[in-house]
Amino acid sequence: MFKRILIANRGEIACRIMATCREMGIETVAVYSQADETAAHVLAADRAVLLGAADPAESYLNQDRIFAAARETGAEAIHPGYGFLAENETFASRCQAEAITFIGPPPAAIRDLGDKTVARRLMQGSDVPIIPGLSHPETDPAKLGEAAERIGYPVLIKAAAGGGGKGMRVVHSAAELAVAAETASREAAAAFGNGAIFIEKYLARARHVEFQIMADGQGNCIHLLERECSIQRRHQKIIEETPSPALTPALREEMGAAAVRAAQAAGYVNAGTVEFLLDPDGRFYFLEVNTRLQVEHPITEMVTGIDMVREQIRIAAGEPLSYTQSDIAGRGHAIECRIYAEDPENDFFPSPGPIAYLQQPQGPGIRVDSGIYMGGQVPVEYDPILAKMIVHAETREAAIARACRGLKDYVVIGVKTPIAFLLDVLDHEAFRDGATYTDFIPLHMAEWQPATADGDLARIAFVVDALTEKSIGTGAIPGGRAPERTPWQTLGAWRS
Amino acid sequence: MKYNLEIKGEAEALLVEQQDGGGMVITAAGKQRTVTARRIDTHRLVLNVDGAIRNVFLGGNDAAKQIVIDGVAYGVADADAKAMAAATGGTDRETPREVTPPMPAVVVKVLVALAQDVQKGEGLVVVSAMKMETTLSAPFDGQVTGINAAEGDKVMPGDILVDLQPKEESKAGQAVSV
Repeated sequence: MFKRILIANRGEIACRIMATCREMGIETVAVYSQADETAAHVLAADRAVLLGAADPAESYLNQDRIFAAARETGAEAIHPGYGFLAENETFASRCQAEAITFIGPPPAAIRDLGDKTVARRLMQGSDVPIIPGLSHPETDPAKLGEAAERIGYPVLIKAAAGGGGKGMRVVHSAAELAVAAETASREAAAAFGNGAIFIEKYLARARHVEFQIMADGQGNCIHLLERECSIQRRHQKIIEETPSPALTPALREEMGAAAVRAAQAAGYVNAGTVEFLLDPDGRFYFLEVNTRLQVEHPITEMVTGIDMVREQIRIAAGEPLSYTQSDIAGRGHAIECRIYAEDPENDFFPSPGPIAYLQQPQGPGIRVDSGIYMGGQVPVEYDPILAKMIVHAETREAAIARACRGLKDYVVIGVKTPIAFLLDVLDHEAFRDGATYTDFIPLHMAEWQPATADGDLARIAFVVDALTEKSIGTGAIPGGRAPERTPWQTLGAWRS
Repeated sequence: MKYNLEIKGEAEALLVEQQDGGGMVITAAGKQRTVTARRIDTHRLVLNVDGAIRNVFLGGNDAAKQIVIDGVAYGVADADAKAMAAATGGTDRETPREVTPPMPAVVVKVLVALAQDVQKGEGLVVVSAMKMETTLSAPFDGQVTGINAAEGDKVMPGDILVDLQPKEESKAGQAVSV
């Protein structure tokens, strides 16, 4: 087993990976940029190495410096987390060349599945149904237009090298196609270093259902059930749950088997996710394979009771899978809410800054994977995910109630978060009915405004705060004691 | 004691009477409430309002506070403090009429040219922040009278990226910098 692992990432996922390493008695090495000198993942590690300036190219994406840090600290393996270098084939290959174990799939699998068009072709050869569309990248607007006419509008422009909603644009008519393609390509180039795009038919009313797979180096591959991730804003997931309200046991078995076939077709090893779109008629289509540990993996951990990072490390160390398919059973219902530093009243624009106050929820069935702490900073240069709140309960109804309790107890002062928005999604009749399709947010939340029910209480709080001593311990309850303070100190501004 | 407190531009008067032995009676929107409070932290109060315990969390300053109650954040501003600031020449930065990034960003593309006529909602500048692109658009019909940013520029909230003169001359009667 590894003695020391370097985590090539930051924020909540780096902290989460380190937690399992510590439990396994494995030393952890953090790497960080100048913007993260006192970041949570640095404080949580056994050792830390400064990579360079805040710009990811100088730090979290800088392979030379990361390998230098691994050599300097004697790290035997690297866990890439998600984003950054997690799905970078060159990085995985270089790990092999430098005799450091990459905790993830083989470079060839990353390469083949990382190109969404190659992945589509692989699936066609393995009897896995795919969405009508192009199976090769295309930038010529004329050819894109022809394909779109053939497939039928609306179409979805996607980044061939991408994920996370970046480089994606829905196009409803030929008139919008050229501009959408250009913007998508530019966004993809900025996010993934590759501006290649392709198109698929846009399934407006579908569910995003993905299967977690886990494969060892001995040819064994199983699935760890599904996750429903249909609550998305601009193609970015914000709420995920398992089990999916739409899956029957038969459909689960069929999709699970297809997911395992898909993984095996690509020679997959370690943890991965096979994404499908499920249309209202119960037909499913392959979307893509994510060759990494995903943001939403904790909901699978809650219902299966399996530590997926532990399994990843074991597989990378050459051990066989700890489970067979018949060992895998889901219990209860789990929901994850992503807490981003975003302003829901300002088109979800990123909201970096210092965390002046933080209270994270706790109690029965609540797990918080967090990369922030009170007094810490949310830098502007990186993805704005702060934390994930995951709840687990006996039923879906109980899990929803638990998630609402958790969100109401989740207090972040200093940066804006979409907590109020998430509460309203969970409270929505369509969500409670399980009618969760990828158009949920545009359909139900387009005109969303935050609740105003406690406006009077907020005004009262304003006044009480102004009239109450700012620091505790002076016993200054309004109208009460503290006779030693003179009116000149307590009067404040003129007021009638 | 009287306060004039605004949430999203809607002001409401509050009358506060401090009681002997602690506590206050606060009258707002015609309703009278008995309130006692304990300070738990600089950012946290626990209020007892007519017998009900309510935890509230606060940030900000004397003039404007962000108040979080049961997951919802309220921006509460002291209208009197705002009036005082305006009277002494402070600028109202709340105006939605500015073409300025809401957070530090990098200019990706300028979509308009000098002297170009634009309509309300038309895209003016594309900026990128935290790996997502957003387009800043015209807050009203107007003409571009100045372009103050170029591709690659790092810009901050408050930087005016594009100057826009409203189409209706009868309006302010003066150019508005946006």
